[in-house]
Amino acid sequence: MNNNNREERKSEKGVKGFIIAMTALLVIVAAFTVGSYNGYDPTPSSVSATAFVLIVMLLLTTVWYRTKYPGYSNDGTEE
Amino acid sequence: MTISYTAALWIGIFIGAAIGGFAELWGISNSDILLRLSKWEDRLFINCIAIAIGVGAVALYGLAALGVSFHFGVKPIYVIGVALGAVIFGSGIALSGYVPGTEWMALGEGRREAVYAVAGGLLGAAAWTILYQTPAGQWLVNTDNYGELYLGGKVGTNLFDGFLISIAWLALMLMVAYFLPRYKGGKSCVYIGTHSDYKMPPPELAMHKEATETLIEGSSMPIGPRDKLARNANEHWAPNNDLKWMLTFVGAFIGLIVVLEMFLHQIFGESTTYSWMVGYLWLPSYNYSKLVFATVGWEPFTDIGTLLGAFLVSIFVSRRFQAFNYWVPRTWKKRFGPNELKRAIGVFSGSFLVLFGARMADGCASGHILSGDLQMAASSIEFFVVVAISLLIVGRILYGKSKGVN
Repeated sequence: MNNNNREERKSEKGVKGFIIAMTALLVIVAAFTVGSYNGYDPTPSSVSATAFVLIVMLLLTTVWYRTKYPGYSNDGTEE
Repeated sequence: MTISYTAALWIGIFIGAAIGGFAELWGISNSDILLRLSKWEDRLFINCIAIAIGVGAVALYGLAALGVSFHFGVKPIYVIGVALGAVIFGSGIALSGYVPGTEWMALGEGRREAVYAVAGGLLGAAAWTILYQTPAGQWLVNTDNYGELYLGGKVGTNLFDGFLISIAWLALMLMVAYFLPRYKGGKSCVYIGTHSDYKMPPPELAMHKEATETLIEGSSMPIGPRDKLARNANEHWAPNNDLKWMLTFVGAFIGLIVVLEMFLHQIFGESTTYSWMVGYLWLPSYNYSKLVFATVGWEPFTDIGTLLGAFLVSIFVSRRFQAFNYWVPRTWKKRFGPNELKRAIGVFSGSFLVLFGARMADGCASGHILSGDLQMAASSIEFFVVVAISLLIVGRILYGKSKGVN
C-alpha cells in the first residue's frame, strides 16, 4: 500500500461531472417513481431503484479513484 | 389559522443530504470520533448536538405556539424498555463507533467497515422484530408506559408553556456547548470559534492536529496545494479558517433542518429504515414489521439522502472519500491492534447492539437524541442519559482511561 502523501493531485473533472449527473438521475428516479405520494410506507421498488443509482455511483467513483491514484491512502500526515 | 404542509416522500432525499453533508463535515461519520467520546476524550459530538437541540427546540415551540402545525415525533416513555434499549445502544456505540445514521454517512465516505456495520445493524433490527411479539418484548414496551410526554406535558399540548421551557432548554444547551471543552483541559469548539484572540496551548493544538490526521487518514484523495476548501474543512479549529463559523455552529443548521422536517409532516429517524428493510427482506409477517410498514414515512429516502450528502461532501469539500481502503480507527488499533478481521467483528457486533437497542427503545441518535431531545421528550431525555452512562462505562472497560490536554 502506497501511503505516500506526496501523491500528485490530478484533474478530477471527469468523475465529478459523472457524480453530478448521477445525482440528478437519482433525484429524477425518486421523483418519477414516488410522484406526489406523501403517505406512509414507500414502495420498495421506488426505494430500491433510487438506491441502485446511488450504489452504482458509489462503486464507479470508488473504481475511478482507485485507478487514478493506485494504492494511495492518506496516512493522516499533512503536506 | 393553522399553517400545515405534508411533503412528498422523495423530498426526504434533500433533507437527509443536508444532514448527512453537514455531519460529514463535522467528522461524526468517522467512527474514531464516537470511540473517543466513549473514552470521554473528544466531546465534539456533545458540543454540536447541544446546539442543534437547543436552537431547534426554541424554533419548534415558538412556531408551534404561533399556530404552525408540526408532525411531532415524541416517542412514548416505557421506562424499562427505553432504559434497557439505551444500555444496549450505548454499549454498541462503544464497540463500533457508529450510530445508525453515521453508518450510512460512513458508507457514503467509502469506509469499508461501514459495510460490516450495516450488515450487523440489519441483523440487530431483525432480532428486535422477532423479540417484539414475544411475551418478553411486549413486557418491555408495555410496562410503565406513560405515553408520549414532553417537558410541557402531553405531546402537542401546552405549546406556549413549551416555548417558555424551550428558552430555558436552549440556555442549558448553550452552556453545555460553551463550557464543555472538546478535550479535557482545553476549550470548547464554540469558545474557540467565538474568541479569535484565543491562543491554543501546544498540548491542545497537538490534539486538534491529531483529530485532523484522523479525519483524513485512509482517504483515497490527495489534498493538493489548491484544495483550500478541504484544508478548511479538516482544520476547522485553526485560526483564520474560512469555515470556522459554519463548522462551529453547524449544529444550529442541523436543528433547524429537523424542525423543517417536522413542518413537512414527515418523520426524522435513521434506524427505522433498518427495520423496514428487514421487514420486506425477511420478516414481512411479523407484528413489528407490520407496525413499521404502517408508520414509516420518508425515512428510507432520508437515509438515502444521508448517504448521498456525506458522499458528495467527502468528494467535493473534505476530500475524505476512502474508496473502501483499508482503515482501522486509531482508538481501536491502540487497544486491539490493526487486524481488519478483528475490527470487522467488533463493528458488526457493535452495530448489532446499536440497532437492537435502538429499535427496543423506539429510536436512536437521530430519533431520540437529536429529534426527541429537540422536542424535550421525556423518553428521549431518559434515553440520552442512560446511553451516556452506558457508553462511558463500556468505553472505559474497552479502551481504558482517556488522555487530556494536560
